[in-house]
Amino acid sequence: MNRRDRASSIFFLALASIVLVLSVWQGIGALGNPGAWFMPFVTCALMIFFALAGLSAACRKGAGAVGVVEAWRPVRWSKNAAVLAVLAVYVALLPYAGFLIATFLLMSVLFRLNALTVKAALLAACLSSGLAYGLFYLLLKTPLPRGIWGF
Amino acid sequence: MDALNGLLYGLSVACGASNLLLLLGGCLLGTLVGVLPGLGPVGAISILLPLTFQLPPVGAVIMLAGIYNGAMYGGSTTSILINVPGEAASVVTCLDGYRMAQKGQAGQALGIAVFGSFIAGTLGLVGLQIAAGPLSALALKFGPPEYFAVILLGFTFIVYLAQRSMIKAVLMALTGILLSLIGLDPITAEQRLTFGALHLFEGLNVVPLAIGLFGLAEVFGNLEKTASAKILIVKIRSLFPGRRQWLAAKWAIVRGSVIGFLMGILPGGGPVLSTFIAYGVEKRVSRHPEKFGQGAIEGVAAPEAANNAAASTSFIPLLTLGIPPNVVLAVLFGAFLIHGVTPGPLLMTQHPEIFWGVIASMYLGNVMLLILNLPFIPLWVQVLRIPDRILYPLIILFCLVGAYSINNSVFDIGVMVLFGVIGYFLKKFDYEAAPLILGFVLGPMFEVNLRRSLLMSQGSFGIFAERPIALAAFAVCAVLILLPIAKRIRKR
Repeated sequence: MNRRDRASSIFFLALASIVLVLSVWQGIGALGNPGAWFMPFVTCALMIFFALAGLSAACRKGAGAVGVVEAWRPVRWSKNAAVLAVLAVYVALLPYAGFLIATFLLMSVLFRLNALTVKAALLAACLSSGLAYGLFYLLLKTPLPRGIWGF
Repeated sequence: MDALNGLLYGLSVACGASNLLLLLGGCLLGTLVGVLPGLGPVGAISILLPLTFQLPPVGAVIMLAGIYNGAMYGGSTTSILINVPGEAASVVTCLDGYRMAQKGQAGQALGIAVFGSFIAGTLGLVGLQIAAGPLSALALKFGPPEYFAVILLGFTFIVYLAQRSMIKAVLMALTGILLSLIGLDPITAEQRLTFGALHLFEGLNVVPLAIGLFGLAEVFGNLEKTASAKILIVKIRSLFPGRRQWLAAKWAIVRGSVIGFLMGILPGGGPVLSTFIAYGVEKRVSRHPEKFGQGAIEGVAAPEAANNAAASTSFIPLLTLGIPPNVVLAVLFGAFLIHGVTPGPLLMTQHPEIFWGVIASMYLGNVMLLILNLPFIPLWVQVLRIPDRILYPLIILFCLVGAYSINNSVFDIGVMVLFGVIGYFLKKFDYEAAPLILGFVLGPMFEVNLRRSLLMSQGSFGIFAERPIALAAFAVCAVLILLPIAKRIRKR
């Protein structure tokens, strides 16, 4: 156990506590007639127990060599952050721009982020989004989002 | 229908031209995904699921089973050639497979992996075929208390066999159960944890969750790496192991098959764990344990046999009890439901074409993979040369389409991205995602059967002691919980 375990145990403890309070507030019913919030209550009570067990084990063994920040130090996490931002924009854009345009834009950025030249990224994006559209929309009849331009 | 007639009926279904083509396609796609490092069978089945939407249920399930088997076969190629496992069940193969390749025996290592997989996979299928009928008949006698106890036993096994911390595995399984409770209550139709969001009324779908946790999170994990794996440049002379190698490997294959067979049935066991156990056993029984890790052929044969036997027998609890024993089968369970088929004791009588068709197609798939894998190995080596900068954006694209096409919903893409991030953080914090998915899939069954049992008994837990099957399951649970505690006390 190390500092990361402490942090994660606290997270689970907080999450379970919130849902536990919510369950009690909504009504868990009786043992002979368990209500809708009975299972969330039981699950969260168990989560709290095990999160506390994890937390106590982490505290007993003391802080290890690997902390929360160290887990990101030797890696290029900024690239992940960029990909995540692009995906968030894609999700927001998809219903308006439609699959073809939104996916072309997404793939262009993703290929570019992965160190392809602008020309190569555009070409790869064109091919990949076109092929995906052909395979899923035209061949497999998946109703992909159309957007305001109708495609 | 007895086992032999069932198999013959299944063969008549699976041998239809379209089903054979789907099986071939599934095996090839599965092997391709298995070969690609980072994307395992869970990601493969989740991402490729939309390809089956237009297919009839039998064809769809046959194709998905082919993808699973193919991925199990394909994972060893990367382990042997680049020391990077294609999927988790091939991690152990790296130890001796890569050393054999370094010594110029890449062909023999790949060959024994394929032959071992074939032999063990076939033995596992024989067990599946024999055990399926009696187990289905037994499962028909199950009521809510028995189901609850068996699912609880499954959870206990999942936690007991967790590869890392048991506390973390419990927390993951409980988180999975909690996520499965989002939506309308199955008994009273009351809203739970939806916070008024319309999209959450029907709950979350397992596929975007699995794609996020096992597909996108893998991509995130690989994108941040600063160095990529190097392919060993080897000339593959012969894929057939020599006589001496066969003699050395034959008992390793048998032992691996037996271990895989048993581990496949156990909830939480499955192919991954079976490989570690098979390798450990092989090293222990060997007269030359010092050779392990230096290119011992038994070190390749045993885990490869174990993972394929386990892949076959893990279908036993799914097809007979409707309980997926591991994460891949949990996703397959979701796929069955999407195609309107409910796995469980009634599957054999209500959908015999699917039940026996799947078993027969797995036999055929094993033969196909044996025939295809040997000549295709040079092609798979070429696949490994696809640069990451091309590969990862394409995987992301497949993840997006896979998540969207389940409900044709952009919301599901958002869920997939969110769980991709969660999966990435879980890895960083050393949590396994598999118990979460299993908790998510088993959660609704767990809840409904517990509540029905309590309703039947008017709130008395004594109902579980009155039923022999439930009582036996609880006894095993108690032993599994007390064992590690007793070990710890003895250590002190």
